Amino acid sequence: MEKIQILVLCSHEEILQTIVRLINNNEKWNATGTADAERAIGLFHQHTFDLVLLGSGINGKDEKKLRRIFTYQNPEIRIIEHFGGGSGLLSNEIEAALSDNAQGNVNVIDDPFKK
Amino acid sequence: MANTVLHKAATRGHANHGWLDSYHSFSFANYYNPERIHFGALRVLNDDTVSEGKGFGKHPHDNMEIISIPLQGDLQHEDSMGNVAVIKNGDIQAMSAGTGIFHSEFNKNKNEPVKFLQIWIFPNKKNVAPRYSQVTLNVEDRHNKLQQVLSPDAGDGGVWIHQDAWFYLGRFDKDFSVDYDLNKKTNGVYVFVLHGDVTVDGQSLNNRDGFGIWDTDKISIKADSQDAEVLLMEVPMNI
Repeated sequence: MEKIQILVLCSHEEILQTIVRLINNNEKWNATGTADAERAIGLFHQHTFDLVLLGSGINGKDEKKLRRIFTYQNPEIRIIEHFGGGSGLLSNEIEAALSDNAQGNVNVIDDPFKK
Repeated sequence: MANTVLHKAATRGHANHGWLDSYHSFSFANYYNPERIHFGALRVLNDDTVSEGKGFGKHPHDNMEIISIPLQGDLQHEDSMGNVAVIKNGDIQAMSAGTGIFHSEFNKNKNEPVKFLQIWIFPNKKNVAPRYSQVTLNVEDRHNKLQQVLSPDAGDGGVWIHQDAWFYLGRFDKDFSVDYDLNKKTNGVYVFVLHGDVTVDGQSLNNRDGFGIWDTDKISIKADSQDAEVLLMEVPMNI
């Protein structure tokens, strides 16, 4: 069975490593992590991802750019916030996003910070 | 016309890991209910009991305001900013995860469980500098009144967070009633019953029920039992 491919972007290296490790604990998921926005764009061009997780340290301008590029390249891509992989929300938000992707729903909070 | 949502205690998510017995008012960990993802900026309300000497090991957060309210026992906090502290009933702890923090929370007691509420609020600013604070409150100041325990203002009562949110605790004699005027009309109020029975805007509530109200500028609370206790959380509804 093909694994769900997840791109993780987070400028906090230690949190990034933790999130990638936690995601890869699930045998159905495979995480690729980077702390650099330009590197994330490059990875997105080179590989097919099912989900993008955005974490801390990405400035608003970069985030808008990333969302625009990712969505242009793959209109179906789900881009959600992660909140550091602390107990509880990481798996829940991923499962919800993947479930909603499958059902065409929008029940997860894509960007709680958008105005 | 106000909108409301009722979360009866028995309908919450529940996970018992042995060392941790947790009830989730909103989707969390293995509990997922698409109807209960959040109430405005309120994303997590966990009602946790942690066994003696056990706890949450070091783990990260970012871009979240995290509030802990101990109800019984002593909770030991350590974080990547070098803070080591113990909070107990009467204290309230707030952390802004911002650009990223690691922390752990353990039951300091060897002979009794610790019970506490874990509350996560979406911040109104991303990537703020991480910060930790705790205050000790006089629990007598909430007898037959609403005691402010959290606000957006560092100079106001209780702890402060990066969000236009206000929290209050109250402990009421039977038949005591109080009105609450919202600080912002675009906010909503989520009332969580910590003990006993209350009626909020005509809705009867019992121990650990949650009741959300929005599109209103005032609510009324009446105690239906002696020493009824509530946590009132006013949060932005538009996120």
